[in-house]
Amino acid sequence: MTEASPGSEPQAASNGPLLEITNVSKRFGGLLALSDVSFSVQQGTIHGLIGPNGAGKTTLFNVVAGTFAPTTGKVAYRGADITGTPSHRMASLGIGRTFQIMKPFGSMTVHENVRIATYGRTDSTEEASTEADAVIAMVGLERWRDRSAGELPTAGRKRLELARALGLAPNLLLLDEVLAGLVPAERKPLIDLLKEIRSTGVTMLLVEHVMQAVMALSDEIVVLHHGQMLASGSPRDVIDDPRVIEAYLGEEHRHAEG
Amino acid sequence: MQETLQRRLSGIDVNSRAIILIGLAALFVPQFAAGSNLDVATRIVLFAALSSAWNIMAGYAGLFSFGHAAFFGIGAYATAYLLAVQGISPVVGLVVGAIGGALFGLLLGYLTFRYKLRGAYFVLTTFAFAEMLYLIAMKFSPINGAVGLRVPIRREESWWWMQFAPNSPNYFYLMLIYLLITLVAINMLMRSRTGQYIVAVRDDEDAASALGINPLRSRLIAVAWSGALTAAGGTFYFQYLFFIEPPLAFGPNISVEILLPGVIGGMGTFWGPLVGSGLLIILGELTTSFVRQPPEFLSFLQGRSGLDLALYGALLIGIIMFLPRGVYGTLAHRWEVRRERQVHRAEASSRDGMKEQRDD
Ligand SMILES: Nc1ncnc2c1ncn2[C@@H]1O[C@H](COP(=O)(O)OP(=O)(O)OP(=O)(O)O)[C@@H](O)[C@H]1O
Ligand SMILES: [Mg+2]
Repeated sequence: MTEASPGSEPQAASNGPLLEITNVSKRFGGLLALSDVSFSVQQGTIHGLIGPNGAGKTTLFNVVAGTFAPTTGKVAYRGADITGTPSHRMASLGIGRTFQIMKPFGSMTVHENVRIATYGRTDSTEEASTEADAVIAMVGLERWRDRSAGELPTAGRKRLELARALGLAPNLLLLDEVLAGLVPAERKPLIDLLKEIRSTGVTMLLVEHVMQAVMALSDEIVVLHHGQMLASGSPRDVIDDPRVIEAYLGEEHRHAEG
Repeated sequence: MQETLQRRLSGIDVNSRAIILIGLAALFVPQFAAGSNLDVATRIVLFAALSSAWNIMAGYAGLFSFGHAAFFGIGAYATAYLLAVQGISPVVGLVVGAIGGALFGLLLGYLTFRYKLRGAYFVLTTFAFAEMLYLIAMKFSPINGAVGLRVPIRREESWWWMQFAPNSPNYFYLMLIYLLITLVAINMLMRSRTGQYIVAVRDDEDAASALGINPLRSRLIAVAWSGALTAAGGTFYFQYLFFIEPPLAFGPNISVEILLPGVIGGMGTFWGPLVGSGLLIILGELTTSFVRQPPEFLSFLQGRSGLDLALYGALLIGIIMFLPRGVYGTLAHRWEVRRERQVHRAEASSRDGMKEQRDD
C-alpha cells in the first residue's frame, strides 16, 4: 500500500476529494476543541490551516491521523470512511504527519530514524537505507546523518520530522508548523522543498503561523477559531475577511501582506 | 585460506564476533575453576542469560518487569512436571516451557496494553502476575504444591536428560549453550527490522505509530521473546539445582535476581546484563567472604550475620547512584559521545579545509 508512489494511482479519487472532513467535533472533558468542522481537500493541492493558539489545529490533525477518533463526525479518505482508524493503519493508507512538538527517536541516529519510515516501502533493508538517504538529502540533513537524533538542534529536528513523514512516501501529508523556530533564511529552502513535493502530486494540509509561507503555498485556506471554522476559501479572500483579521491576523498584518 | 576466513568474519557484526570469542574463551573456564568456583561461574552465565532476556522487555521495549519470576517459574515447572511426574525429557520441557513463557507474555502484554497500564502500573502488574502464579503453585497438587518437585536421579550421565555427575563441568557448558543461544537470538532480533520497531515504539510510541508501526504488535513480540527465553532459563536452573519449589520458581527474590544484572550493567545495552551478572555475583561472593574473614583491624565484623547483605546493598546503591546508566552502559555512552565529537571535529576541519581551498 505505502509503496504506491504519490499521484500514481489511476483511480485516486478522480471523482471526489482526497480528504473529506464532515461535521467533526472533538470534546476534551468540558472543552470543545473542535466544533462541527467540515471541509474537503482535493488531490494534489495544499490546504492551509490557520488560527490562533488553541484553535484546534493540532487536534484536527490528530483526528485525521488517527491519534484519536472525533467525538462526532466523519473523516473520509479517497471516498472511504476512515473515522477512528488507528494511526499506524492511517500511515499505511498513505497519510503521513509531522508533530508540532517534535518526537525524534532519541536513541537512534538521524538515518535510523528515517529508515524506520522507509522500511514500510520495501522488504530490502538496503533499499530502505538508500531511500532514507535520498530523503535526508532532500531536507538537507546529510551532515547529521550519523548523529544521534536526540542531539539535533530545533531546526534539525523540524527537518527530521519532515524527513520521516516523507520517508513514508505519503499521499496526504499533514505538516504541523514545520517552519516554526526556523530563521527566515532557513525557511526559503524548505518552502521550495514543499513546492517541489506538491509538484510530485502529494496533497498537503499545512498548519503554519508564518503567514508569508501559508500565502505562498496554499491553494486554499481554512481558518479555525475556538474549534470552529471561521472562514475558508482562497488565500486572498480569507486574508481580507474582516472576521479573520479580527480574530487572528490583526490590522498590521493586512498592511504587511497587502 | 586466511583471507577467506577474514572475509567471512568481516561479514559478521561486532556483537556476533564477540559472542564467538566469549564462547570459545568460556570453554576453558572449567579448567581453571572447579567446585564452588565453577558454581559461581555457572550462576554468572545463567543470570547473564536470564537478565539479557529480561532486558528485551525492560531495556529495548521500555517495559520494566518486576515479575520475571513468572516466566522463569513457568519454564522450571513445565520441565519439572514433565520430568518428575511424566518422565519426559527436559529437552521437551525446555520447548514446552518456552512456549508457555511466550504465551504467558502475550497474555500479560495484551492485558497491560489493553488497559493502558504504563510506568509504575505496568511494573506492579508484572509483580502481581508473578505473585499470582506463586500462590497457584503453592496450592496446585499436580505439581506437588508447596513441597516442590525433584529431578529423578539417573545412573548414567546424559545430555538428553540434562543430567551429569554432581561436579561435572557439563552443567557449566549447558548454561553456556543457553547463554550463547540467548545472546545470538537477541542480537538477531534487535538488529532486525522488528527489533528496530520495538526500540522506536519505546522511544516514542506516537511517532512510531505515525510511521505505520503497530505498537501493540511490537510490544507483544518483545514480551513473547523475553518470556520464552526467560522460561528456558527455568529449565536449566531446575536441572542444575535438582529441585524446585514455588519460592525458588516464582518468588520475588527471583525477579530481583533477574533484573539486577541488567540494571547494574546497563539496561538497553547488549552487554550490560552480562557485565552486571559477573559484577554482582562476584561482588556477592567477595562481600560474603569478607565478612566471614575480615582483615585484622575489622575482626569484630567477623560472622555478623546479615552484614554481608548490608554491604552488598550499599555497594549496589552506590553503583545505581553514581552510574545511572549502569556500569557497561556508562562506559558505552562515554565512548559513543567521544566518537560523535570526533566525527563532528573531523567534519568541521574538512569543511574548513574546503573553504580555504575555495578562498585560494
Ligand atoms: N489531548 C488533549 N487533552 C485535553 N485537551 C487538549 C488535548 N489536546 C488539545 N487540547 C486542548 O484543545 C484545545 C486546542 O488545542 P490544539 O493543540 O488543537 O490547538 P492548536 O490550534 O494546535 O494551537 P497551537 O497554535 O498553539 O498549536 C486547547 O485548548 C488544548 O489545550
Ligand atoms: Mg498546534
